[in-house]
Amino acid sequence: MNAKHRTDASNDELASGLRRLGAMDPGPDFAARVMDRIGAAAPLPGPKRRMARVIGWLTEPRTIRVSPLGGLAAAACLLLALGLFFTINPGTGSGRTPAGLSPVTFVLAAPSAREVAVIGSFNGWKTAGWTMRNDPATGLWTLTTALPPGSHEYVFLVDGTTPVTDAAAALSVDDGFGSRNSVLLVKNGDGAAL
Amino acid sequence: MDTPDTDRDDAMAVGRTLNGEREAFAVLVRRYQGPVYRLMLRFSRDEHEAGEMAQDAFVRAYERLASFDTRRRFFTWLYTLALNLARDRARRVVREPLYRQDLEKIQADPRHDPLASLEAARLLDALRGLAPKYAEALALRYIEDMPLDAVAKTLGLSMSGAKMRVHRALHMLRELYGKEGTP
Repeated sequence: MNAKHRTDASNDELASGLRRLGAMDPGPDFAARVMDRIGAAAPLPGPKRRMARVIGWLTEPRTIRVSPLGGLAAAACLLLALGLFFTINPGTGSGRTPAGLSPVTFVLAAPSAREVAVIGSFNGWKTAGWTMRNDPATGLWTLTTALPPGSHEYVFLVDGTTPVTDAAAALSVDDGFGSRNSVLLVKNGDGAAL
Repeated sequence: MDTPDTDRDDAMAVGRTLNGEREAFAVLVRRYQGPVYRLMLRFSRDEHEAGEMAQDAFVRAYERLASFDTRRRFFTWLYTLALNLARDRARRVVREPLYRQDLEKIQADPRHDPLASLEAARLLDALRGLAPKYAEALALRYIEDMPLDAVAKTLGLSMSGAKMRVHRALHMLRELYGKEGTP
């Protein structure tokens, strides 16, 4: 038997051994244990029929990112669609923007939210210090900050549990968990965010 | 698990679950509990812990089910979620060698042929020694007996890429298993 035949035989043996590992299972009561845990979890959103979907689309939290002037038009369109009128001052804090950073304002329309934070690659996906400010009159949550040039992934974290992507973001990427992260591209210089 | 019929069944089960029928999710759990449990066993030597990790994956999947895009394959979504959970855990836990008591426990298990069980334990341990991208390619191809195109889709590879990954992984496993299997 030459070397190639020995390798093929060895590979076949390994493949057979691996196939036998497929017999390992978590036991007959596994599904019941999962369902017990799920039974204790909060219920999922209720039935969504066609009308409910339309209503849901109109009422669910929508997001707008203003960064700083480029997204203002998109934000205004979204707010008009929601029957709201709101003026955002994207220049908040721009006078104190550290050198090399660009001012960015995140905006989320979530009237029913109790708390909203921005989490992303720029803050280690942590909420501390990144809680958004709410305007109860409009239901809008805003946060102005300054970010370095580059590509930043982020989502809004609503009520500490629900990640919400930014519907106004030009780009999004797979987050590795089956959902998506919004992507913010910040170019060099003031007001150069995409 | 890789047929269009199964994908359609999965999508229907997801839809029913989202419509409030929790029991529909049990169908998905029973269908994929084996692959998810075996995935966790590649990251944990403790069967009980692997079972807990697999439960965590399904509970997490249930909680995030609304974000699942039914145009995608449910197993791919679930597998990615479970793999990320397992990797997160692996980052927290220092890898330990196969303990002697593990081998003794395996050999003493009356349900299995001791030699076959010992060989399985060593093979599984060798598999754990591979980088996850190689171990998972082998696991999907052989342990889960998935065709190459399904392996490619699940791992986000081209067909040729999946073929090369499996081939390379088999070579690496042969090297590793040969060393660990030698007294």
